[in-house]
Amino acid sequence: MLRIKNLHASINGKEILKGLDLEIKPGEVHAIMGPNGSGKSTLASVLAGREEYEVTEGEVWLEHKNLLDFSPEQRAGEGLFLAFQYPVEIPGVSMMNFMKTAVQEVRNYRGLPPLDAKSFLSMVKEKQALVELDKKLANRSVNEGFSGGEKKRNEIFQMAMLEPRVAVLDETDSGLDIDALRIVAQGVNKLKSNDNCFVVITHYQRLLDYIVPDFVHVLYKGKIVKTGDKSLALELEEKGYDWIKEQVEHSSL
Amino acid sequence: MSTNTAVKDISPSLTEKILSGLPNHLATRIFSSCPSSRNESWKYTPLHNWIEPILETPTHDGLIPQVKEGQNMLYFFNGKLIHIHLSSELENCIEVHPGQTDIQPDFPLLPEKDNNHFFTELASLAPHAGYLIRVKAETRPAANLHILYDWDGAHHVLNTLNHIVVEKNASLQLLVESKSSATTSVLHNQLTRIWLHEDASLTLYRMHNTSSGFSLIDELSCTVEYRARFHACQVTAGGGLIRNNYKVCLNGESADANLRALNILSGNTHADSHVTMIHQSPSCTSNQTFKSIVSQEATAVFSGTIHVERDAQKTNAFQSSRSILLGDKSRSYAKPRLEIYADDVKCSHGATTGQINQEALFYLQSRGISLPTARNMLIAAFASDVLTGIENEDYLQKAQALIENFTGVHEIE
Repeated sequence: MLRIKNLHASINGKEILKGLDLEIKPGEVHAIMGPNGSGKSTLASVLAGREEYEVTEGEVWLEHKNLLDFSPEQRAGEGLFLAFQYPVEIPGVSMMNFMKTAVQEVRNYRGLPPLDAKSFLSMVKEKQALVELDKKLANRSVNEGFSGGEKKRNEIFQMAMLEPRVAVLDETDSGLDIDALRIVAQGVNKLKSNDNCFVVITHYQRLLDYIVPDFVHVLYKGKIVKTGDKSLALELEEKGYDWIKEQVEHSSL
Repeated sequence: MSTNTAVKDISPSLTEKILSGLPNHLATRIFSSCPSSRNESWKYTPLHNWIEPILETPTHDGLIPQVKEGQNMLYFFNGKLIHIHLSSELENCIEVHPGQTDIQPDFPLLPEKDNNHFFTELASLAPHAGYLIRVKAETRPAANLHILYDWDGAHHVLNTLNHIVVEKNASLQLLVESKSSATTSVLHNQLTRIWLHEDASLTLYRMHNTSSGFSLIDELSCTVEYRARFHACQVTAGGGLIRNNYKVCLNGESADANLRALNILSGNTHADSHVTMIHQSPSCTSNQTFKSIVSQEATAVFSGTIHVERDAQKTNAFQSSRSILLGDKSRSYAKPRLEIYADDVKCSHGATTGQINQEALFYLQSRGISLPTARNMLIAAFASDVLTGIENEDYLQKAQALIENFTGVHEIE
């Protein structure tokens, strides 16, 4: 479903991703772990199309389309979703107006008829319940005054509304307490199907207790240097990254 | 900011033209005080750019429009009153004397903190038109009064002098609107003196939706007595030079003033707001919220002073001016100033100039919202807090229509 081939990306002339390969099939959950500065958040930003990052080489295929040819909004239309590590507060833009605009534009991109007000509202209600986000969204500005946990739940709520094919969760667990973590993970598990796939970027094994990955990858110096199943995450939790770094340095000698 | 030495001043011959028709002794007196770019309060506003073209146009009047009956309204066409209608409710509460410019009631003189004699003298010594509104004590009409200035034609300078008195424990909501046709070429110079007595309240909604040949130099001079409140909101979209001076004196204890303005600027519009907020007495509050959305070659200027006198303890005074620049040639100048002589006060000021928040823009785009739509949402969001809490539906709708109209036109820049 998602195929990343030899992806190189840099920011301000500094190369961060140095030939990253990844293939994800429908229905799969892939976790990406790695030490600080290895390029995890850069990968998320590059996939979503953040302008500051320059892709110097490589391809990112979503089914039969190279996402790198598309603008951020077109990528969303194609079915990519990024749950932000730091969701932005946008005072003055109401959640409802934001979601209505997003859903209608994405539906329009996908060739679907616009939702009428009633169906939209019932969809909002249903998806809000999914992440136990009980805020009255109508008169709230996007993320403004939301607690850390609410912001992350709001990301999963938006994901549910936009029904992506590929969802990238960028450290969604950071700053969450155990309850919020469980709610977020349950939301993700309910959305998981054979028509979509997940890339879960995280520092901690804890999240993977709740969202069980099919594969765990270790990203180091801009490349995936090790791939395993969920037991790899446990091993990392126990031993840290030094043994992997050593392996990489050793093999490159 | 360096002084712009390229700025020319109004030449003596042009000044004479502005003053033509005035008795000689008055003309000489005013002439000597004509401001130039060397004058601090006109530093960013080169007058001649707007005044010269107006003075060079031959004067003529447009066609007098048909007026819809029924609304509570004073209708001025090219500065002349052509229609007045007051409901019986309003007639019971307020006295209106339009056009009687010779009536100049006693008004408290405000301390001279800003050099703007030339235009205020011009308006007060030789007004072409004006009105006096007196809201009778203890009356609080539910209906609001609409004053419409409609401009179509070419004139040099039209001076207006207005007086508004709201007596003890009375209130009024006033909606003042200016509009002009594309062929208008006018400099409207207006002075409005306001006196709010004990427990009085005035809400003033102003809207300028004018063409580039229309320039305005407007001064509001307002005295707010014990526990009285003055709330003013202004939306400016279009025009040539739009200069708004606010001079507010919180004269009685616990008086309150709230000034808000939204400038939606494009083309060559130059919107310049000068505020002098004088806290004369203790326990008064004042708020200033000025926002500008500046595109193309437009300019926004804000210069605001909060002046707290020695006796004005327990003052709460706040000021904020924010601009976003949308074009490479858009400009914004801000000069916030606090002068505090009392020692137990809360005062703050903040001024920002920036662009659309790129992080917010990316966030919206990443949810599938196209770039132009996302920009428009953020522009409207920037404007929104000036308009929050406005109770007048009609005004709110017109303001929102102006924002929508602007974002519709300026999708790609």
